[in-house]
Amino acid sequence: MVHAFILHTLFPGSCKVLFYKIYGRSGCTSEDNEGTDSARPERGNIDYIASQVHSEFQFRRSVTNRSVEEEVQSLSQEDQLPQFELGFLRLPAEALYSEEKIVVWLGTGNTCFTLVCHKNENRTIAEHVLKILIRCTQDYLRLLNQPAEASLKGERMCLILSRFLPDGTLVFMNHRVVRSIERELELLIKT
Amino acid sequence: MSLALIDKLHLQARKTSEEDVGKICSSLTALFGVPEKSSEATALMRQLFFILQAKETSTRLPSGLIFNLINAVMVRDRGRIKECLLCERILQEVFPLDKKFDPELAKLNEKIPSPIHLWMCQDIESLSKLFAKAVRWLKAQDLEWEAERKLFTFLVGVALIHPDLLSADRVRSVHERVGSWLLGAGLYQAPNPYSSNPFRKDQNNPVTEVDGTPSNNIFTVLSIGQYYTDDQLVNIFSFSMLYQWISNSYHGLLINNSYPMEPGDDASDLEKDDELDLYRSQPQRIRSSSRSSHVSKNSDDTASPTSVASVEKTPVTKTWSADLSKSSRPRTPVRKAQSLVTEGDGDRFSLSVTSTASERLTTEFKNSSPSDTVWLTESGETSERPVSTQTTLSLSEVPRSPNPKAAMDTEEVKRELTKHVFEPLIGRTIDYCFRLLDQCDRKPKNQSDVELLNACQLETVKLLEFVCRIDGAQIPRVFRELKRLMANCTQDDRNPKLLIAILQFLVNHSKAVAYDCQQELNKLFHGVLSRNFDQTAVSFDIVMFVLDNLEKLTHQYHVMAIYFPNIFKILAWNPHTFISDFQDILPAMMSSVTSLEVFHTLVDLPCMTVALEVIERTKHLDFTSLQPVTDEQPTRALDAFKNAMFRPMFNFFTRSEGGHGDTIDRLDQFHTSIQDMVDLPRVLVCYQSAALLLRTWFSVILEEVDQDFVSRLLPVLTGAYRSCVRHTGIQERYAENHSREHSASAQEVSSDCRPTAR
Repeated sequence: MVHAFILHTLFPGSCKVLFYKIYGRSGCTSEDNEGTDSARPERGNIDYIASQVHSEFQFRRSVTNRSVEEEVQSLSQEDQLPQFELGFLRLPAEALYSEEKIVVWLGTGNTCFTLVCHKNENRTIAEHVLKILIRCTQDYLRLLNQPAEASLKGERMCLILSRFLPDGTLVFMNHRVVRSIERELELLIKT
Repeated sequence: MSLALIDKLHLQARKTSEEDVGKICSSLTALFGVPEKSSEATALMRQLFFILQAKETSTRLPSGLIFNLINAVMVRDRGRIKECLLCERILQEVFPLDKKFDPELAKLNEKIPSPIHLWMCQDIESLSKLFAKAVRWLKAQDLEWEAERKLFTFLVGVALIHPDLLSADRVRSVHERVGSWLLGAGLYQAPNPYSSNPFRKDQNNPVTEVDGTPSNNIFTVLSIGQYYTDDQLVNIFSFSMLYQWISNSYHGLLINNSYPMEPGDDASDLEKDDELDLYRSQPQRIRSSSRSSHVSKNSDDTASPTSVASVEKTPVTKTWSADLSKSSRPRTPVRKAQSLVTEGDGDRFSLSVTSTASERLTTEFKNSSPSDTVWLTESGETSERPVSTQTTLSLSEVPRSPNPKAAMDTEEVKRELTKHVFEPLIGRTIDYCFRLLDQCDRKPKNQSDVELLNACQLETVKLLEFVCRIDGAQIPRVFRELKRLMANCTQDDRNPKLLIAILQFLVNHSKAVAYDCQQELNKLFHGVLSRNFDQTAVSFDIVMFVLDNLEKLTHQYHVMAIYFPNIFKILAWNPHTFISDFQDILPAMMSSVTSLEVFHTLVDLPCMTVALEVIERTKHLDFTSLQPVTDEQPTRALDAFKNAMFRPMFNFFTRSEGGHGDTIDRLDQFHTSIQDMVDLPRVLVCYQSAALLLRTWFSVILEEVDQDFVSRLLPVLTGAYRSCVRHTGIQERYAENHSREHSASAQEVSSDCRPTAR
């Protein structure tokens, strides 16, 4: 069960969180939450993680000599997903959460899909699930081309996550399981 | 869509006044539950969600709307699942709610325990009750797979967030269920649930292996079918959560001081839960009817669609049992008997949980070693009670037992007790994992399954490693299997991540089988690391492996003292990613012998980055097309690399092992020759990282400094300064970052040592 899913921008400049969902409770901030109605500490953590990934991506962009224009251009090619940059970050214990967490992210030109995992979670399956999520959100929201759709059509994001990341579980889905979930989604999105 | 547009939208959302939010809320409340206005309601909900998510402070919503939202989440209308999910998400944004909503939320606790309760349920008492209910419900055999998935996810979540709620009896009862999910799934595909032909004849196709051959062994996540039955889907989900469940519940039980016996955990309590009936699978529902291959409990059910599957299940069980006896892997007699008993009383008769489970326990005890007799006596007394109470032995009772184990320290006893709780699951987990490893040897027909196969291998090794932590008796047979796997992945450099996972097993357990894994560790930190430092996932796994085993790698295997130059390659290539990790690793690399060389390596870290960049660039370069080498001092890094005089310097900076000298003689010349590359982004960031690490280096030295070391260090520091001052090009950056760090720390070192030096 991952701790959170975050979708955020990768454009140079400030990092915008487009959608996020927290699974379970963080365990450490439950006490901090009390009495702090307006501060939203968990939201602060999400923003912080997104900005860390954003900064790492800017570094990767600079070392690979890619320009933002090239990346965005590669998105306009139909029926073909662009190259993705994969990355991991360790959040040491007590930095944000009482226990160590691992951030797994997969991003391209403008959008990044990020999972905040517990330490013992399988990072390869996290990567696999992220790829499926990217493909599916591209099918139903054209997310790579229109990132803001994730915030504007929240119910679709919720639905897609509920199928491919049910309650935050990283499921070992073979291609047939993926296909049957896709068929189910097709029906549900239409209704 | 540009960032400016997104910015604009976010700004608008943030600036939305409370009045405007109020307006949206009141329109939404009015439209809630009016079927013909559902699309307008959805539009408003989208808008509200967008605003709430963008706002930096939490917003209060009117009570009426919150009641509606809670209700929508509670009812969970199957026809309006999208909207329900959005309601849930909106609620999450405004949580925690005011106390006045407590009665409303309490109603939600009457529903099936699901992961939503993990964040909605605020008090531990209700969560504890829900936990007991989830364990109870799990015993019901005929739930829809979705309900079973929810229950199990909830349990995993509780084990993760509130391990204090776990008790031995509950955990054991979950283990029994999970064990039957893992090994009890049918081997036949479900019929097409979307087919509308009423005269269709369901063909009984078996599921296949990843390479397309029909499968006749245990069903796993790698079994391919067109459609899956309920029990197969539960199998897939339970494996996906297995590691989390085992590891969290094990740690949970270990930290809990006693194993309380919870009254009312009885299977007969199931009758009290009217709500449970809603989640029982009903044959008329498309999904569950077509997907259920659970063995039906009523004999008169034979006319129902599930009968096909139930008839088919018998040969499957037989095949597997036959397979067991044929299996080339030796099993201990205890395991074998247990497997067969388990299989025999698995799904089919398990509605009479109480009797079958106690039978199984008796069988297990007959097979158990004399040292376990204490259990036989304990459970012998309780065997007539329901299964859930069989292992409720509180720790305080143990010392009074006549068993020699009473003398053991509490920690040992606790481990023994906990191991016993895991018995129903350990054998089955190993069987499932071995089966998966066999499946991973096949070549997948569909390319998209390749990644899944890799993930399965990793998961399997991790699971096996953890199981061996619980039960040391399993180490020898797991070791044999993993050794075979390791031979495969060290032969060709194909799967470094798997090698790391296996090494974790060896580091933890090789002692038990008197195996020395030094050679394999050397392989990882020498060749594998040198070839893969630029692979994000591999380098991250290596860093995690180092951090997790820092103590053993430093003192037992001496990897850190030997291979630190190689490990630094990870940082030199990814100076932005791993800086904080290396701050934790660095002290382990430093000993009285290595500290000076580590210092030089840090000062020269940007040179290492340049050398790695050059080597990377020349990998695909045709050297003959380059200009011929001249005797002049090269001013381009590529020219220097081609130059026989300079090539050894590149080799030095990219060496794998320490102990071959601190730094090079003609460092100045080298700096001059690589000037064209010092402005590369990777090199620039590396200067900053090296400066930070030098600070860590000095802080370690300051703690453990002795006179002898200072006398060796001072000339080195002066030399480094001289080099900084002489070279303006590169050293501007040193001056910016290094020198400042240097001088402050060096002053501290010298002032610290003055009294001793005198």
